[in-house]
Amino acid sequence: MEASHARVWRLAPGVSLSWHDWPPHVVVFDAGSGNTHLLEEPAAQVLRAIAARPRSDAELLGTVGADATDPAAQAWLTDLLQRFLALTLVDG
Amino acid sequence: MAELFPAPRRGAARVGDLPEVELARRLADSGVIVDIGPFSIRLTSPILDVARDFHRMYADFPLGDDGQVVDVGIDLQRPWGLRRWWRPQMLIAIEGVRQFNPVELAFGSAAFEWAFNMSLAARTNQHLVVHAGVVEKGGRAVVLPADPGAGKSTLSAALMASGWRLLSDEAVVFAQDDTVLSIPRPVMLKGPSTAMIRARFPALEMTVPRPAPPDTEGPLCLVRPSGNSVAAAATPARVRWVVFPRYRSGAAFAVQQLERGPAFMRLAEHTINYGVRGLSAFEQLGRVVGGATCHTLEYSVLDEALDFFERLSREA
Repeated sequence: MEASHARVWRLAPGVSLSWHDWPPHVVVFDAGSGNTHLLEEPAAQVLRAIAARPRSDAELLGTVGADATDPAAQAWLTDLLQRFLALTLVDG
Repeated sequence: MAELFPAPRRGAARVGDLPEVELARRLADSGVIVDIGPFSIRLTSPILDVARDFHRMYADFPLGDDGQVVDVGIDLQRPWGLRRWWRPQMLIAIEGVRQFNPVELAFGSAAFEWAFNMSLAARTNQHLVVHAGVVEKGGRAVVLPADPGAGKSTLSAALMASGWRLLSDEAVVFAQDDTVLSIPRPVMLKGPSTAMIRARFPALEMTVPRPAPPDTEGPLCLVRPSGNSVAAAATPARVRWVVFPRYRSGAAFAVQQLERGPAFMRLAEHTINYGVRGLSAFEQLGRVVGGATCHTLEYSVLDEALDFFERLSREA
């Protein structure tokens, strides 16, 4: 994922998301796969930002108010995006 | 199966109005139609044990008319052949199609309940159906989703005996307006809970203990639904609470409020047709959870659990 800083993230083809917001959680349904996911609010903010339009890592960190140069924040985002990739929610 | 359904016909004959012998004759002949909440079921069976249980457990249910359209036809028959004499069994058929392998004849009308459950699961996709018990008091329902063996039927029976109206001990069927349809069938108890309920609520009418299927510990009994539950079968209820119960021998009583997100995920796991109904299930379940308070409950003393539900019912 070193190269992920240069990547642009977008929703995977066929993904269509619906949401229930119940702080501190968000439940999201993908009509494309029929899968339902339980997310913490920051993770949901990242996915919502990607759903709105393609985003870079720096932009995504900005949506959750994190410093794009903070290694801990970068590691958190990298892990999150890997999970979204595995769930076929995003492409990047 | 109909979304809108008529209220029970006033003055209509009930199963219990028939002498047991006459009920047995009709069951063996062309079958008997009974209205169970929104569903009309025709049961046909020449098996006397089935007739005996059905007469007791469904005594308060209105009989349908011979000519009416039914939602499901269920047949419980003895198989032919010599084997029927040394290993008595029965065959279960839904709409004329045989289900399962033959089951023990001694299961009695529990076989009817299993067939009804199968029909609900397979033929009710116009409704969201959750595997859970549901009872109501003061117009507010509590849904009890649980894995098999977690005690939802035991709790449903105990709550019914404590003044709650039983809507179902097995399946929560939602109407399009998010209310719960009432299907107040007999509660099926298994294992040690049969003795526990019999001892704690001796006034409840129950079938004689029957042998349980191989994967079940102890005997199996049906509990007759209360008269007020059956009389109000046309009255839906709105969900106010979702409680995930778990009976564990020796456990200390413990209640925790559950955030709506995790509660939704757990409820979705218990939704029989969530995958079939897709986005509409997600949206409807969201409205239900969004309007409910959710808890987990672990208990070993039944009265402590009943006290908790009594406190819930007094909440504003």
